[in-house]
Amino acid sequence: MPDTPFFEVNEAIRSLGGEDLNLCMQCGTCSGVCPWRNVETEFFIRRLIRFGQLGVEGSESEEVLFGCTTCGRCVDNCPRGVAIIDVVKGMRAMGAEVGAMPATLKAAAGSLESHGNPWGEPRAKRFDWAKDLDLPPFGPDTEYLLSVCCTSCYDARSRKIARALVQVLRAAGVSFGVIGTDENCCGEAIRKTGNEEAFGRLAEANVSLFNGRGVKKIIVTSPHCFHTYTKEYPALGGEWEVIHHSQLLAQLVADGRLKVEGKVAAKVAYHDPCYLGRHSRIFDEPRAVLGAAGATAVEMGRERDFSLCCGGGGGRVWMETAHDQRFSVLRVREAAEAGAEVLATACPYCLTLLEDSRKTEGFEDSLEVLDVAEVLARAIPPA
Amino acid sequence: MTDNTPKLPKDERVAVYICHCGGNISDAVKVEELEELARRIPGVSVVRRNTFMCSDPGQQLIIDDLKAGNADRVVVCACAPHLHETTFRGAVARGGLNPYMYEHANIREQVSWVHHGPGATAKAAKLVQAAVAKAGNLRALEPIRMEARRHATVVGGGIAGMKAALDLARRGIDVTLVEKSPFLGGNLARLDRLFPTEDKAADLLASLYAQVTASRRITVLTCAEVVAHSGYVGHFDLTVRRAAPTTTEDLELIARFEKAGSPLGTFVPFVGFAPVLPATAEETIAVATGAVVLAVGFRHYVPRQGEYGYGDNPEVVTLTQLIEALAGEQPGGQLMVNGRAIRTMALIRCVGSRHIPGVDEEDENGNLNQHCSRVCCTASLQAEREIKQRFPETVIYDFYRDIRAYGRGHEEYYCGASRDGVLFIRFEPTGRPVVARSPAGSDNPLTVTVADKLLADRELEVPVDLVVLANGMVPGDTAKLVELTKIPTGADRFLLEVHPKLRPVEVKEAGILLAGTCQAPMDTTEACAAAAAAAVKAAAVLSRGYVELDPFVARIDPELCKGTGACIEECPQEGCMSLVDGKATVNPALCTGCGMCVAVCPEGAIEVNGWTLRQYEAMVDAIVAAPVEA
Ligand SMILES: Cc1cc2nc3c(=O)[nH]c(=O)nc-3n(C[C@H](O)[C@H](O)[C@H](O)COP(=O)(O)OP(=O)(O)OC[C@H]3O[C@@H](n4cnc5c(N)ncnc54)[C@H](O)[C@@H]3O)c2cc1C
Ligand code: SF4
Ligand code: SF4
Repeated sequence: MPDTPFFEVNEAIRSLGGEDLNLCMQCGTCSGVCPWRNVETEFFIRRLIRFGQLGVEGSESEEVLFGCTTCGRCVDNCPRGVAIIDVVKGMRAMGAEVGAMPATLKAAAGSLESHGNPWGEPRAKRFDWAKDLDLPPFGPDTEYLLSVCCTSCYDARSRKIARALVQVLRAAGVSFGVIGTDENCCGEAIRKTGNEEAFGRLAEANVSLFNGRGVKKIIVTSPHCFHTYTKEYPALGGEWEVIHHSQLLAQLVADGRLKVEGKVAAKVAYHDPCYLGRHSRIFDEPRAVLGAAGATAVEMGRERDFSLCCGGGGGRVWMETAHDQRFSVLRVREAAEAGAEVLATACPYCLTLLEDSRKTEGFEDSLEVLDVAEVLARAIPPA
Repeated sequence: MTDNTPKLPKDERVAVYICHCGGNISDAVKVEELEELARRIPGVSVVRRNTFMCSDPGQQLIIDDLKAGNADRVVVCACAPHLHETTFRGAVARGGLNPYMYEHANIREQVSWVHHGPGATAKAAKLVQAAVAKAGNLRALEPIRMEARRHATVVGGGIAGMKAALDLARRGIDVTLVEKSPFLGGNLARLDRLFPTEDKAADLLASLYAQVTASRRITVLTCAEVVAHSGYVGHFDLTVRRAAPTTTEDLELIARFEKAGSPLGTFVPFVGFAPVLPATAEETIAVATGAVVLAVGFRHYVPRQGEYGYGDNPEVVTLTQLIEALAGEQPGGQLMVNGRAIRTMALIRCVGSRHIPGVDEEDENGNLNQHCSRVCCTASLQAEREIKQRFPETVIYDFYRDIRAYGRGHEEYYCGASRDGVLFIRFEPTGRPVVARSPAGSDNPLTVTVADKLLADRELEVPVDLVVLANGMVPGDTAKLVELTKIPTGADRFLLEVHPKLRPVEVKEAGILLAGTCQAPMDTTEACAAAAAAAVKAAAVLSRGYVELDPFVARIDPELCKGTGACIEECPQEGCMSLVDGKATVNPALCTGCGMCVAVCPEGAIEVNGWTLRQYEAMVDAIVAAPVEA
């Protein structure tokens, strides 16, 4: 049966944020540079856009509609400058209207609604990771608000990032405080699933919370928070000086405020998180932090703008990915092949996925996965 | 000349230059060895080598040797003579020698590009020997100088023709502008706004028309055609016939013109300018001219009956018809074409263009249009953008093979149309869209079916209110002109230039130039650039007042000629040879130096300058002689 194009669908996608839908000329550059080309898949971004343009069937499956990790490789390479991620977002929003939303994403959205975090964890436990740390509350006397990613608030492995960061900040004498359980998920990933409503609620709550407390400067531990706070909140009235912890640490070392006395004598490969590197153009500072810790840098080949996505963006961190489709598996293999003893990164999602793959691929004894803050903490004697 | 025995070079001193052509020659020919061999050829006074003889330092070698008195004739061994013979003749002249004391040995195309191994050097040596032998028998010649009329004729009164006429007049050349139809403006008069500037075609034409008619140097003849042509550059005699229009196209234009009721000399949309009323009686006008600029333009491709439903369905129109509809009254907020409201439309590209042998049907004359018409892509995008901007609710499906938005500013139309929401659907030439009437009860009268190349050949059925066929450009009706002027046409049936890059507006016959779309599909920018080039070329020849022609023409020895007239019968150039007082005479301006007369003269009274029998024999002798020893 031939299909008949359904132009109303095209119009709906455009009105749901995918404004550039028709600007795509179908050259296919996007599909060519997409990380999905490293694995077997049904997902081709060009084809997804085509389904949207014509408003014909074919994009309904989870793998196709929710395949995109929003890593941004294609956006960087599109000759027409199509805002591809926005088109994906628009198509997902369109799908959501007709109920095409994977169960895992529904669960994440539900948890965000009731707990302010996507992991189904009670709000009250948001600061359990810092129970014994005696963190000062944010107030007029504190310079920075330390805003910790939901994942690092609840996940056992990820909490260590936050704790290492606190250790280093204290060693450098940085003035910071925390808000605590009132904070909400930044909403970056849920927005990418097409759930504009959930994002709006979270963003509004955070903006009024931070503004109400007189926040001027924020340290974030996730590139996803960094992206939202710097690129999406300003339109909603949230304008602060936002710094990713890798930037701050590099600055502290450069200014001599942080004395690094020890040395991490290991070969370290650095994995550029998509939202820190490609999306936010922060490439050098995390490397500077590793260098300050005395690490020997080894290269994996896909660096900086060409970094391979871990697979966790665009809401996929909440979804199940088949083992043979995991980019993080490829990434830990690359690190191992490059002779790295440590695979460092600067994003809680990347860390979670790489950690997992390190284990499934049998590198438990030969390769560690660490955040740059953790690497630096090892070079600093505990207070 | 009576003595046809070649003489061996004795007192002559021949300078031989061997070019390496940056390895093109020296990789296959042992040039050092060739130099040694050349030195041993009797009569050679100096031998030199250079990486690129055509470079300034290379040419300087020749000039220096001649000025120092080292030689009195020159042989350059290099590429094919058509590339650089003139270059080296120039160097010889600058060295103070008659430029015809020059001979060329082609050791690249005839040697290094086709032979390798020791044979290559041996063959090169033979060619050098032959060239030296001929050089020994060269005579100084003078170019033939003919008076040139300071008058040019431009055939075709479209934008290219008007532009060429005006540029010629500005350079002080008198011009007759011959236009077949009753109107000036050509096909451009049948357009509205022009990409990429969005100028009104009417405004562009009006400014040209005002200048053309104001110029006292330009005579405009409408309803006129060239029916006879003779002569040579600087001295062409044309016969122009003016007659009452008879073609349906002209009659239609006249009807529109009369309906508009505008005074003469004002622009009538989709018709053009009438400088005078259409001719009613026949008259014949002789035009004595010096150069002819052909600016006879193109024709719009008219789809065959049934091609994409054309002719069978009133809802199928051409791009040119759509452009006219858009330029007309569009009162409501809805696009109307032929009185029908259009909510959804399809546009199909490459109609009548880019045909593929074996895939597409030939026309009744067995022709295919394999060329790309080049303008329909951007013109289609422009129309689509206009529709999207004026009637945003209109849904447009664009069926394309490729989008060739190639010129400055054209890509912006493509991006813009995409942004405006035109949906592009790609098809293969083997899977063209099919236009059919929609089943009864459908909202839209037509349905276009195609396999979407971009969706793994998924069958799409697109119901629409209108189908627009982006019809391209086809060559004008140039058969008569081609027959008259003998200028060649390309495989695409457009008029053909000598060299697309180096001599883009010239044809083989000196004094005839091409301007605009008679040569190939062009947009207005390109057609005007070509017209300006043609005008300058013609003016350069005519404003000197004389033309210089190569002296390689037949020469008759009056002592030997018995007036048999065999040559006159044989000569293929009409009017070139005649008997004057019982002796054959040649009109050097018409002679092409073909040598037919030489072969038939029973008295051996004719030779062709620069290619005498004696010179030929000297070459043959040199070739069959023992090779020079190393
Ligand atoms: C659909 C379409 C849209 C276009 N849109 C644009 C645009 O937006 N912008 C742009 O730059 N270009 C556009 N073009 C191209 C533009 O039309 C041409 O570049 C331009 O018209 C060429 O002018 P011309 O003088 O070479 O030929 P023509 O306009 O064809 O003029 C030739 C003239 O010669 C006359 N003639 C023909 N034979 C003889 C003969 N034997 N003796 C005497 N006279 C003769 C004809 O009657 C005619 O008046 C478009 C073309 C098409 C097909
Ligand atoms: S954003 Fe990344 S994952 Fe998504 S389609 Fe583009 S390249 Fe692929
Ligand atoms: S310009 Fe475009 S529509 Fe016209 S023939 Fe060429 S490719 Fe086809």
